[in-house]
This record gives sequence, structure tokens and C-alpha cells, in this order.
Amino acid sequence: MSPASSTVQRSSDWALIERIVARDETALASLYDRYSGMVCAVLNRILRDSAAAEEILQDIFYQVWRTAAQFDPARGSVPGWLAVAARNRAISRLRRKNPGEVEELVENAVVLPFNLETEAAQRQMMGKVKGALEELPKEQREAVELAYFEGMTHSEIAAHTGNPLGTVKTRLRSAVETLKKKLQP
Amino acid sequence: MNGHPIRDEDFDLYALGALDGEDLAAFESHVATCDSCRQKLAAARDRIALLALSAPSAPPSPGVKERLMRQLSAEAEGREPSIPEPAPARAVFGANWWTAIFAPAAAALALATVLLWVSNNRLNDQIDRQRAQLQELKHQTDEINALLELASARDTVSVSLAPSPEAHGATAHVLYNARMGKMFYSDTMTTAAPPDKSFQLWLVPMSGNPVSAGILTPEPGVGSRMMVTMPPGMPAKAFAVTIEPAGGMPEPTGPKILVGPVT
Repeated sequence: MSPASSTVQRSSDWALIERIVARDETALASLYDRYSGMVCAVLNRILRDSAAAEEILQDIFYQVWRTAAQFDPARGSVPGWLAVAARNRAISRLRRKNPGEVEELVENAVVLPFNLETEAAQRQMMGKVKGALEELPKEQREAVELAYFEGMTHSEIAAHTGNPLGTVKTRLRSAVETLKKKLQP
Repeated sequence: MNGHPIRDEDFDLYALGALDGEDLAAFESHVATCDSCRQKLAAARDRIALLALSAPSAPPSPGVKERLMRQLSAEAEGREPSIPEPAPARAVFGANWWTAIFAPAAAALALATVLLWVSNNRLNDQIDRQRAQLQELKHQTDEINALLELASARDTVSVSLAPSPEAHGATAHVLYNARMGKMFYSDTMTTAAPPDKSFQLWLVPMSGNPVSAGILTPEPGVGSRMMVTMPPGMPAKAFAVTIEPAGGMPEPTGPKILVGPVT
């Protein structure tokens, strides 16, 4: 990612956040239009329940509305926050846990190192991430997906797949190492 | 290792949520006191967050945005913002979903259908009544126009019919134009014909037998009015009303109750 593209994305998303802070409902609608597809995809992938996914989707954007003033551009990107919030909330729903909002704001502050402001950019990045995952050996990809989308730890993946814990750890280490290289900006 | 009691991959594994047990405790313990590792963890979180983009596309239904915007509006209006409405159990595709969505819609549709049906029937009745009224008005207008045309024609004859005692004092009047083949008849008879009898109007031509001009049907208190079309070119010598068997006869057979010669 070039610094310029990052700056463009942040300024645009954060301009919307500033308008949301000023209680501009159209700004939230614009942010929703921009990222609801991505968020809903994560929620559906984890929950496999579109009704529950849409419930959380609405709640996430309503939280953006209520807590926009607490967003810190220096600490993370809007799509990064949304992606992590979606994953965490969905996994919490699966595990019947309720993350606190303040905790979420801190923990979910990530910077997606790519410009996702436009639908085309999102599609391009989706292709890149899916491609990187598909290039992994099947067992590694499965382990990554169980960890990311099912919220499983090493031990849980070992129990789920019936593989030795050491094997699972090795597969995941190899997988994240490969992904780190593939997903370099 | 990177000079710290943590492997490079641990940052991504931690961000992935895969660490547990002693690995997790050791990692968190170190990161809590190491700024450089916290920075590495932040970078790992950024990377792992990208995995969200590998989820298959699943666009939300339009209803989510609508509910969200209603939620904002409710808040702006000072109403208690509702908890996000639990979306109907779409994934279940069960009775609840149908009940929640389609039952009210079906009920509303049924009610609307009934209301529309009733309204439609009323409208149809109104239309039928108005159409009949319009038809009657048109008929009356046509009669008036025909009467005006008949009355204003120079070759129209006007004949008053004298009553016999059976007419009970009623009078009658005829406007007739042989060229136009039009006749307008009116009387003041207020009684109906005797049982099984009809009042029949006749045109007595200059030559030949009387020609029927129709059966009279007096309205109580009003009398008879009718515009009659006759074969054109038949000059009249006289007009008469007779009492005939019900339905009338081809030629006059009964007593004359009204008679008027053309003068």
C-alpha cells in the first residue's frame, strides 16, 4: 500500500466519522453502504445464521453511531475496526460471551493496510486474501479457518480435527508465516 | 525467537486467537511489558484482520439498513431507541419466519382485498347507477332534441284528440311530421287500461288502414308521453286511441276513447 492510498482512505472514512460525530445520519448510511457487505460476510461465515448476522450487523453500526467520538484515527482504520468487531462479536455469540464496548474499542483498533474505500478495492483485496488462503496446503488452510472463523485455539483445533497438538501448532505457524509474506502491502 | 521469549509467528497466532494454555500466558505476560512487541502485535492484528475479506460474499437484506436508520431517527426524536430488532429467523426457514413476515402481510393483503372488493362493488354500483342516469338523460335529451326538431318543422302537424266518455276527461295531443316519420304523443290519462286490455295509438293515413303507433302505458298522475318513429312519407288523416286486448292488435278492434282529425 502506498502512503497516499492509506491517507486517502483514512481521510474519507474519517470524514464520515466526523460527520457521524456531528449526528449526520447520512454519513452513517454512507459508511454502512461502504462496509456492510464486508461485515455481513464475516458474520455469516462465522454464525451461518443470516438472521443473527443481520442483528449483529445492525448493532455494530449502531455502536459506530453511538461511540464515533471515541474513534481515534491514530489507532486504527474504520474497516479494520469493523472487521475485528464483526469477528469478535460473532465468535462471542457462538460462545455466548458479551464483549464490553470499551474493551472492544481498544482491542479492535487495527489498521487494514490497504485501501478498502471502494467496492472495487474491496473486491480486489478479497481476491488477494482468498488467493493467499487457497495457496496454503489444505490442512494449514483448515487450521487457519478454524482459528479465525470458529474462534478455536490450538488445543481446540487438535481436538476438533483429531490431529496431535504439535502438528496443529506447526501447521498454524507455517500458515501464518506464509500469509505474512503473501499479504504484505 | 527475536531476542524476546516469543517467536515471530506468535504475534499472528495470538491475533488469530490460536494461542492457549502456557503459550498464551507467556505471550501476554511479555507483551504487557514490551513496547516493541506491542508494536509487532499491532502489525499482526492488522494482517490477521484481512482474513475477514476471505469470507464468502453475503450482502445483508435492505431491511437491516432500514431498521438501523429507524433506530437513529427514534433516538433523534427522543424516543427510546429500540434494541436492534432481531431479524426474523431467516436461516431457519421455519414457521416463525413465515409467521413473522408473511402472516401480517397476508392479513393486511386479505383485508385490503376485501376492502378493495367492497369498494369496487360500491364503485361499480355507483358507476352502473350513474351510467343508467346518464343513459336516461341522454335518452331524454335525444327526445327533447327530436321534439324540438319536430315542433319547429314547418310541415309538422299538431292535432288535439278529443276524448270519449271512456277517456274519463283525459286529453291528448299529437305532433306529426310525415316527411320525418316522427310522431310525438302526449296525454293526460291518469288511469291504466282495464284488466287484460291496452290503450293503443293509431295513425289513420290518408289512404289505407290505420297503422299502429304503439301501446300506451300511462303513468299514474302523469299520463303518457312517447316519441314514435313511423314509416316516412305517410300523410295522416287522423289519430286515435282505442282499447284493445292486452298487447294490442294489428288493426283497431275496440272502442275509440280519443280521436283527432288532422285539419
